Amino acid sequence: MNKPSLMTAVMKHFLWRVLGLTGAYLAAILLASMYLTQHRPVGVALYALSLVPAVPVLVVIVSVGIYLRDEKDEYLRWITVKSLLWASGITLSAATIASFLDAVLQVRPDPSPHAVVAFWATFGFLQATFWGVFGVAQALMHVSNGGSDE
Amino acid sequence: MGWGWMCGVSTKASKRYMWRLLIVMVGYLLATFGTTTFVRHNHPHGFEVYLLALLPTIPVLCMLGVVGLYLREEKDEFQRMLTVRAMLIAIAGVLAMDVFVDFLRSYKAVGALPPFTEFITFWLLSGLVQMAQQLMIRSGADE
Repeated sequence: MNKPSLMTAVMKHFLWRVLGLTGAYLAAILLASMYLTQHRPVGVALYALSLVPAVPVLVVIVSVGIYLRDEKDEYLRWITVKSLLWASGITLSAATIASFLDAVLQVRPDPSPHAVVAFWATFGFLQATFWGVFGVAQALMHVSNGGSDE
Repeated sequence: MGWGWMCGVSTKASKRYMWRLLIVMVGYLLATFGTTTFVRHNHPHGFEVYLLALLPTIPVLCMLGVVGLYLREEKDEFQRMLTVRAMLIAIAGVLAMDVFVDFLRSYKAVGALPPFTEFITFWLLSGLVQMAQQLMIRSGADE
């Protein structure tokens, strides 16, 4: 009996890229923070250094774009777009709540990457859920076809 | 796509998208200003304020729902791709801006962003990217 493939090759590349870039993001924040604490740059140098953690964030989004371009399965492309829209909605909603509380109560959250965490947590959760459902459906179809992918 | 009538592309789906987006945008403005005014005048406390803070998020989610609806209804795959690309660039801009500002804030180099900056940046960026894409396509077609 053939083992059903739950992941496309493009999806695997995408997951490895995201994993690598998440490591790069954490490393960028850590290294930039260490450099700032030790050298205390000011002015342009400080602003330039603050751009460093933003680079992996941008590259992850580019890798989502590459995945959407390369993925042949239309259903998988659609669930990624759906996850992207939901994650954007949750991120903008969280930002709107924070802005509202700031505007009416002058309650400002501590500086921490809230938006990035909200976005990737939602995106990752939804992708995992949709892919899980897709995988189970594919496996069930495989079993019902008697082990054939036809 | 959505900004099509400004740039010469207007499918049925894009016209519907524009109207829906316009209605939800008005809903967002009403919800935001209405709730802010209500809180400033009636001074609710604790749980009530947090409940009221949820109101403006309804149109925010609806706007992304409108985009999803457009992507489902639009028959032209190229236009769908342009919209998804604009959404990706818009969210990339918002996340990069947040990371940049949060990093500077943690070193007390800048203050917090003005209220509702993320929302405005997202839709402004998305609109500008859509317009730029349509203009590039038109200039390519004219040559």
